[in-house]
Amino acid sequence: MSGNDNRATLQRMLAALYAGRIDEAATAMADDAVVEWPQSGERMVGKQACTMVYKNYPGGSPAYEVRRISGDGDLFVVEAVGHYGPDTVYTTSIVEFRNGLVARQTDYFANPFEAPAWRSQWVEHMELV
Amino acid sequence: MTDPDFVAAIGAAFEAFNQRRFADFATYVTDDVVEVYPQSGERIEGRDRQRAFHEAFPNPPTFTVRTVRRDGDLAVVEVDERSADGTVWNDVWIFELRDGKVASMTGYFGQPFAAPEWRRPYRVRP
Repeated sequence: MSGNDNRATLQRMLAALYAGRIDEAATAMADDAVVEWPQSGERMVGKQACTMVYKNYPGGSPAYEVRRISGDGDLFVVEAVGHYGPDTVYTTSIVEFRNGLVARQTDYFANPFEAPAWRSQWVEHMELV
Repeated sequence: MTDPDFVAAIGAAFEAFNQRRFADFATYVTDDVVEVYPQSGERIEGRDRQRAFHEAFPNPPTFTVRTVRRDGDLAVVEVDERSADGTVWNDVWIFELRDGKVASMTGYFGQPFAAPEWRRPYRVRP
Protein backbone atom coordinates (compact mmCIF):
# COMPACT_ATOMS: atom_id res chain seq x y z
CA MET A 1 0.00 0.00 0.00
CA SER A 2 1.64 3.23 -1.09
CA GLY A 3 1.50 6.67 0.42
CA ASN A 4 -0.61 7.80 -2.54
CA ASP A 5 -3.17 5.12 -1.70
CA ASN A 6 -3.12 6.22 1.92
CA ARG A 7 -3.69 9.85 0.94
CA ALA A 8 -6.66 8.88 -1.21
CA THR A 9 -8.05 6.78 1.62
CA LEU A 10 -7.62 9.69 4.02
CA GLN A 11 -9.37 12.10 1.65
CA ARG A 12 -12.29 9.70 1.28
CA MET A 13 -12.51 9.28 5.06
CA LEU A 14 -12.52 13.02 5.68
CA ALA A 15 -15.11 13.70 2.99
CA ALA A 16 -17.40 11.04 4.46
CA LEU A 17 -16.81 12.20 8.03
CA TYR A 18 -17.49 15.85 7.27
CA ALA A 19 -20.66 14.89 5.38
CA GLY A 20 -21.90 12.83 8.31
CA ARG A 21 -21.52 9.49 6.52
CA ILE A 22 -19.88 7.93 9.54
CA ASP A 23 -20.20 4.27 8.54
CA GLU A 24 -18.52 5.05 5.22
CA ALA A 25 -15.73 6.91 7.04
CA ALA A 26 -15.27 3.91 9.32
CA THR A 27 -14.25 1.72 6.40
CA ALA A 28 -10.94 3.61 6.39
CA MET A 29 -10.23 2.80 10.06
CA ALA A 30 -8.50 -0.27 11.45
CA ASP A 31 -10.65 -2.33 13.82
CA ASP A 32 -8.33 -1.38 16.69
CA ALA A 33 -8.07 2.30 15.66
CA VAL A 34 -7.31 4.76 18.44
CA VAL A 35 -8.45 8.39 18.54
CA GLU A 36 -6.83 10.68 21.09
CA TRP A 37 -7.64 14.25 22.08
CA PRO A 38 -4.69 15.35 24.22
CA GLN A 39 -6.27 18.62 25.34
CA SER A 40 -8.94 16.74 27.32
CA GLY A 41 -6.91 13.58 27.86
CA GLU A 42 -9.57 11.55 26.03
CA ARG A 43 -8.77 8.29 24.31
CA MET A 44 -11.21 6.22 22.27
CA VAL A 45 -10.11 2.69 21.44
CA GLY A 46 -11.58 0.63 18.61
CA LYS A 47 -13.40 1.59 15.46
CA GLN A 48 -16.76 1.04 17.13
CA ALA A 49 -16.06 3.49 19.98
CA CYS A 50 -14.59 6.10 17.62
CA THR A 51 -17.59 6.04 15.32
CA MET A 52 -20.04 6.18 18.24
CA VAL A 53 -18.48 9.49 19.30
CA TYR A 54 -18.95 10.91 15.82
CA LYS A 55 -22.51 9.57 15.58
CA ASN A 56 -23.55 10.93 18.98
CA TYR A 57 -21.99 14.37 18.68
CA PRO A 58 -24.63 16.82 20.01
CA GLY A 59 -26.08 18.74 17.09
CA GLY A 60 -24.15 16.54 14.67
CA SER A 61 -20.44 16.44 14.06
CA PRO A 62 -19.25 19.94 13.08
CA ALA A 63 -18.47 20.57 9.43
CA TYR A 64 -14.87 21.24 8.54
CA GLU A 65 -13.03 22.41 5.47
CA VAL A 66 -9.62 20.91 4.81
CA ARG A 67 -6.88 23.52 4.39
CA ARG A 68 -3.88 21.25 3.87
CA ILE A 69 -2.90 17.60 4.01
CA SER A 70 0.82 16.94 4.51
CA GLY A 71 2.50 13.55 4.14
CA ASP A 72 3.12 10.88 1.54
CA GLY A 73 3.72 7.66 3.47
CA ASP A 74 2.16 6.31 6.64
CA LEU A 75 2.15 9.66 8.50
CA PHE A 76 -0.16 12.55 7.56
CA VAL A 77 -1.18 15.83 9.12
CA VAL A 78 -4.56 17.33 8.29
CA GLU A 79 -5.18 21.03 8.91
CA ALA A 80 -8.85 21.98 8.77
CA VAL A 81 -11.11 24.84 9.76
CA GLY A 82 -14.54 24.33 11.26
CA HIS A 83 -17.38 26.50 12.43
CA TYR A 84 -19.30 25.87 15.63
CA GLY A 85 -22.02 28.47 15.25
CA PRO A 86 -20.18 31.81 15.26
CA ASP A 87 -16.92 30.30 16.49
CA THR A 88 -14.05 29.31 14.20
CA VAL A 89 -12.02 26.28 15.25
CA TYR A 90 -8.74 25.17 13.72
CA THR A 91 -8.20 21.43 13.94
CA THR A 92 -4.97 19.60 13.41
CA SER A 93 -5.09 15.83 13.04
CA ILE A 94 -2.02 13.62 13.18
CA VAL A 95 -3.04 10.52 11.23
CA GLU A 96 -1.01 7.30 11.26
CA PHE A 97 -1.67 4.47 8.80
CA ARG A 98 -0.99 0.76 9.18
CA ASN A 99 -1.59 -1.66 6.31
CA GLY A 100 -3.57 0.93 4.39
CA LEU A 101 -5.96 1.83 7.21
CA VAL A 102 -6.02 4.60 9.80
CA ALA A 103 -4.58 3.08 12.96
CA ARG A 104 -4.26 6.20 15.10
CA GLN A 105 -5.53 9.76 14.94
CA THR A 106 -4.53 12.50 17.36
CA ASP A 107 -6.64 15.66 17.15
CA TYR A 108 -6.02 19.19 18.40
CA PHE A 109 -8.53 22.03 18.49
CA ALA A 110 -7.49 25.69 18.56
CA ASN A 111 -9.19 29.08 18.45
CA PRO A 112 -8.18 32.19 16.51
CA PHE A 113 -6.15 34.83 18.32
CA GLU A 114 -5.14 38.39 17.59
CA ALA A 115 -1.61 38.89 16.29
CA PRO A 116 0.38 40.61 19.05
CA ALA A 117 1.65 44.09 18.21
CA TRP A 118 5.15 43.54 19.64
CA ARG A 119 6.19 41.24 16.78
CA SER A 120 4.47 43.02 13.90
CA GLN A 121 7.74 44.34 12.41
CA TRP A 122 8.88 40.79 11.57
CA VAL A 123 5.53 39.38 10.48
CA GLU A 124 3.63 39.16 7.21
CA HIS A 125 -0.12 38.97 7.68
CA MET A 126 -2.09 36.34 5.82
CA GLU A 127 -5.79 36.40 5.21
CA LEU A 128 -7.62 34.63 8.01
CA VAL A 129 -10.00 31.85 7.09
CA MET B 1 9.08 5.76 11.86
CA THR B 2 11.11 8.19 13.96
CA ASP B 3 14.84 7.83 14.50
CA PRO B 4 16.35 8.62 17.92
CA ASP B 5 18.83 11.15 16.51
CA PHE B 6 15.97 13.20 15.08
CA VAL B 7 14.05 13.08 18.35
CA ALA B 8 17.17 14.27 20.14
CA ALA B 9 17.64 17.11 17.65
CA ILE B 10 14.07 18.32 18.10
CA GLY B 11 14.50 18.19 21.87
CA ALA B 12 17.75 20.13 21.61
CA ALA B 13 16.18 22.79 19.38
CA PHE B 14 13.32 23.44 21.80
CA GLU B 15 15.73 23.40 24.74
CA ALA B 16 17.86 26.02 22.98
CA PHE B 17 14.75 28.22 22.77
CA ASN B 18 13.94 27.56 26.44
CA GLN B 19 17.42 28.68 27.40
CA ARG B 20 17.25 31.68 25.06
CA ARG B 21 20.16 30.34 23.02
CA PHE B 22 18.54 31.63 19.83
CA ALA B 23 21.74 31.36 17.77
CA ASP B 24 21.72 27.63 18.53
CA PHE B 25 18.04 27.35 17.61
CA ALA B 26 18.82 29.02 14.27
CA THR B 27 21.23 26.21 13.34
CA TYR B 28 18.26 23.82 13.01
CA VAL B 29 16.43 25.85 10.34
CA THR B 30 17.12 26.74 6.70
CA ASP B 31 18.08 30.28 5.62
CA ASP B 32 14.64 30.69 4.08
CA VAL B 33 12.63 29.06 6.89
CA VAL B 34 8.98 30.05 7.07
CA GLU B 35 7.15 30.06 10.42
CA VAL B 36 3.35 30.23 10.21
CA TYR B 37 0.60 30.71 12.79
CA PRO B 38 -2.72 30.06 11.02
CA GLN B 39 -4.79 31.09 14.06
CA SER B 40 -3.54 34.67 13.85
CA GLY B 41 -2.61 34.77 10.18
CA GLU B 42 1.03 35.48 10.99
CA ARG B 43 3.93 34.43 8.78
CA ILE B 44 7.61 35.03 9.49
CA GLU B 45 9.98 34.56 6.57
CA GLY B 46 13.70 33.90 6.83
CA ARG B 47 16.08 32.75 9.53
CA ASP B 48 17.30 36.26 10.39
CA ARG B 49 13.80 37.63 10.90
CA GLN B 50 12.84 34.55 12.87
CA ARG B 51 15.80 34.99 15.17
CA ALA B 52 15.05 38.69 15.70
CA PHE B 53 11.45 37.78 16.46
CA HIS B 54 12.57 35.14 18.97
CA GLU B 55 14.98 37.51 20.66
CA ALA B 56 12.25 40.14 21.03
CA PHE B 57 9.87 37.69 22.75
CA PRO B 58 8.66 39.30 25.99
CA ASN B 59 8.57 36.69 28.77
CA PRO B 60 9.28 33.76 26.44
CA PRO B 61 7.40 30.52 27.11
CA THR B 62 8.99 27.20 28.02
CA PHE B 63 8.42 24.17 25.80
CA THR B 64 8.27 20.52 26.83
CA VAL B 65 8.31 18.09 23.92
CA ARG B 66 5.81 15.24 24.37
CA THR B 67 5.98 13.29 21.11
CA VAL B 68 7.96 13.44 17.88
CA ARG B 69 6.86 11.68 14.70
CA ARG B 70 8.72 11.75 11.41
CA ASP B 71 8.16 10.17 8.02
CA GLY B 72 10.54 11.36 5.31
CA ASP B 73 10.53 15.15 5.15
CA LEU B 74 7.42 15.55 7.31
CA ALA B 75 7.66 15.75 11.09
CA VAL B 76 5.00 16.57 13.64
CA VAL B 77 5.76 17.40 17.23
CA GLU B 78 3.37 17.62 20.18
CA VAL B 79 4.56 20.14 22.74
CA ASP B 80 3.32 21.53 26.03
CA GLU B 81 3.99 25.25 26.22
CA ARG B 82 4.05 27.03 29.58
CA SER B 83 3.61 30.78 29.39
CA ALA B 84 5.30 33.10 31.85
CA ASP B 85 1.94 33.57 33.60
CA GLY B 86 1.68 29.81 34.20
CA THR B 87 -0.88 29.10 31.50
CA VAL B 88 -0.27 25.79 29.74
CA TRP B 89 -0.98 25.40 26.04
CA ASN B 90 -1.06 22.18 24.05
CA ASP B 91 0.79 22.87 20.81
CA VAL B 92 1.23 20.90 17.66
CA TRP B 93 4.03 21.83 15.30
CA ILE B 94 4.20 20.67 11.69
CA PHE B 95 7.74 20.69 10.32
CA GLU B 96 8.73 20.36 6.68
CA LEU B 97 12.36 19.32 6.37
CA ARG B 98 14.89 20.00 3.61
CA ASP B 99 18.38 18.51 3.72
CA GLY B 100 17.87 17.68 7.39
CA LYS B 101 16.86 21.20 8.43
CA VAL B 102 13.50 22.75 9.17
CA ALA B 103 12.28 24.62 6.07
CA SER B 104 8.83 25.42 7.38
CA MET B 105 7.17 25.23 10.79
CA THR B 106 3.46 25.68 11.29
CA GLY B 107 2.29 26.04 14.87
CA TYR B 108 -1.15 25.53 16.37
CA PHE B 109 -1.83 26.50 19.98
CA GLY B 110 -4.70 24.84 21.84
CA GLN B 111 -5.87 25.03 25.42
CA PRO B 112 -6.83 22.16 27.69
CA PHE B 113 -10.58 21.50 27.98
CA ALA B 114 -12.74 19.34 30.19
CA ALA B 115 -13.83 16.01 28.74
CA PRO B 116 -17.63 16.21 28.34
CA GLU B 117 -19.84 13.75 30.12
CA TRP B 118 -21.68 12.54 27.01
CA ARG B 119 -18.53 10.91 25.64
CA ARG B 120 -17.82 8.92 28.79
CA PRO B 121 -19.38 5.66 27.51
CA TYR B 122 -17.13 5.64 24.45
CA ARG B 123 -13.73 6.41 25.90
CA VAL B 124 -11.23 4.51 27.99
CA ARG B 125 -9.95 7.62 29.71
CA PRO B 126 -10.24 9.86 31.59
